[in-house]
Amino acid sequence: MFSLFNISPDNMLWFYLAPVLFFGPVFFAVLWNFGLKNIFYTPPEYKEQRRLEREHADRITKRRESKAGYYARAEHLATASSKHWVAQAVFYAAFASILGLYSAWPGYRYSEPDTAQIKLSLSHPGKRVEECHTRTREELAKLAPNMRAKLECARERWPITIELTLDGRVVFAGEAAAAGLHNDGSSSFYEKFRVPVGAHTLMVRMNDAGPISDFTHKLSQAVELTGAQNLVVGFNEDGSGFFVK
Amino acid sequence: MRQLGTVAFYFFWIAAATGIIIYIFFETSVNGAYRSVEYMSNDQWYFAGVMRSLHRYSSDGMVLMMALHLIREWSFDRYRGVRWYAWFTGVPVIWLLYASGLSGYWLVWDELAQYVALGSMEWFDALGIFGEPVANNFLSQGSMTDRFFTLLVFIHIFVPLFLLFAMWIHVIRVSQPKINPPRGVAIGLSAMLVVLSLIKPAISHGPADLSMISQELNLDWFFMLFYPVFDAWGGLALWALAIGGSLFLAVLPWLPPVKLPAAPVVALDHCNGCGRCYADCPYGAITMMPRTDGLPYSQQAEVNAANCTRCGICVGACPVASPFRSVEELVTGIDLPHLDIKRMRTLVDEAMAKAPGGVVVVGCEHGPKVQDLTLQGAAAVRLPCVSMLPPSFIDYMVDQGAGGVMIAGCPECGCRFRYGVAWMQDRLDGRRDPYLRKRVPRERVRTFWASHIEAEELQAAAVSFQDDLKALNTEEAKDV
Repeated sequence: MFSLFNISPDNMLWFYLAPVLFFGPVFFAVLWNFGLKNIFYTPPEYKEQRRLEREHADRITKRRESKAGYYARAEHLATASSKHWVAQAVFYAAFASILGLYSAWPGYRYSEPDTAQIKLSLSHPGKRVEECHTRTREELAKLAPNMRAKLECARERWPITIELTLDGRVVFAGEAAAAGLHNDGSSSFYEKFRVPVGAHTLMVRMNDAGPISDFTHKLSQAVELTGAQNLVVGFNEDGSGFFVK
Repeated sequence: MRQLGTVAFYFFWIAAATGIIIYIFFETSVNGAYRSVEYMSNDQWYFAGVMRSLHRYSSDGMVLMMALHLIREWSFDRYRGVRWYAWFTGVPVIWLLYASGLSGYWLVWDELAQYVALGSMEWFDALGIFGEPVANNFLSQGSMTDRFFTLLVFIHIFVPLFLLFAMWIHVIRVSQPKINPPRGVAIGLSAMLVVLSLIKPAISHGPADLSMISQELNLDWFFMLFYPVFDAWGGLALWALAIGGSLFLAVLPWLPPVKLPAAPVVALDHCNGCGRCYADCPYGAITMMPRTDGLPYSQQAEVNAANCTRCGICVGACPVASPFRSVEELVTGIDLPHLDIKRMRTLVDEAMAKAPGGVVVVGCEHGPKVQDLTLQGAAAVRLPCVSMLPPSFIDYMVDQGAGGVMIAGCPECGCRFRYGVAWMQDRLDGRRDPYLRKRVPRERVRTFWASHIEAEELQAAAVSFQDDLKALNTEEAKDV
């Protein structure tokens, strides 16, 4: 059908113009009825009222000019003096100064030159709380044809615990529950630590298999941190485990 | 200071127009974004660079104007009663303005953009509602895609559109809203922004580098005031501050609720459906409905008490509100039950009796304190708004022997009820119905617009008026 109208990415003009031509009027019609007409359409009676008001104002102005002093004297009608213009200039200069100044001043020191940042950021699903069960032929036969999955798995996953140490000192130790109402999603960590620059030994360990005594994933690596460096500690799901970059 | 809201609107239009121009030069890609912005500021400094600076400074100006506008309306107690709607709908405007501005800062993709983007995402992550931290989108150099910048551009276009929509909602219940500043102010502001853009053009930080953290940043404090708070206190504390502050602002009009007397009532027997009260009501509290009582007029006025401030401007607009009427029970087409036209005439009569042949000063409840005026030969009448006084009452006072009538209301453009001063001045000048009749000598009518603290100025103006009246009386005596 698209070829019927010669609409393809090769024909760039049509490619962009066709949706505009088709949906544009529809979109405009909706907006027009939604309220645009109230902005752009002036009813004839309102135009007539405006015309009468203008005529009336003109008559008043003419009458005022011909009878100076006839109308009520207003104390507020002061003429603009040189003082007025100076005050205006001072006001605009002050306003511009405030805008110019606080749009980039005072400076904000986010980090010191002799510190670096380690960012622990990962999302990883823990092991299932119950191991998957392989269904027997009999069990499969009892199920509807479209429900015959070989594996039957409970949804809940173990929370993950992580420990990150730097030069043997524990910098972070925490636990994250699996996401989701049934705790069947990934557990996520996003932590930042400021550390001094220089050579360090970084070790990160994770347990994703529930109540066992040891960690299931480990990485120990020597790192050389420079000023303002952002070192990311993450986890690859391709089997390679923790990475540092 | 009276144009804060309109100036904010004007800055929005400048930001919108310059934003469209900047977009022509902008490249929506990770590597192209910073490069194209640098091109604007360096190679094209004389046009695109100025446009960028105008875009920046008009947005900053909008935040400043919004803050001052909020403080002013609060300090003048213009947020309670029927004004709750504008105040309440102003709260989302604050959020949308910040979202609009901050999403724009991302697009530059410099160190500041990186700081703002990460700070914003980490702030959202503090809520704990996302399965995975959204800040992971900014983990390392390779985690950003060009299409992400397309998304950012869409956000930076549509959030300001929502902002405009919210600003429209903000003023929708205001009758004849002023959303454009006077021409002179608009020209002055435009010139100011252009000069500022040339003297101190908006510049970028170094390009964003996700493998590094920023050290020294030149924050735009108008938009980024809360980021250091986030760094110091954490995300949840800032959420508490933001949501708590917004809720507090939102409920402020009811802390405590304003207590108003009864709303005006329409006496159909005396209403000819002329629509002047409808045209003059500053809050759209009056609607014209088809006639229900069988009288040979097409319309009748109907009051919506929820929108009414009880200013009485409608009473002053009613052509039937005349103290000369020789009906037994003085009534008018629309009247305030707690201060009806009969009571108004009694007040005027009492004032004239206090200062026979002197000056009657008619003041309002929010302008100069006329009740504190201590001047021999002058007496005061205080109404909710000076525009509640029908011009026929001025005629009546002069006709009944008052030496002069002084109308003392709020400062111009600072009227508590928006148009009270303007309508009264127009009625005196013959620009708005009902007019002050020609037979009233204008030398015996004077206006004085000032704030409630200008007691000395009021006293001086009244003395000056008395002196002028004495001279006038002497002249008239000579002529006779």
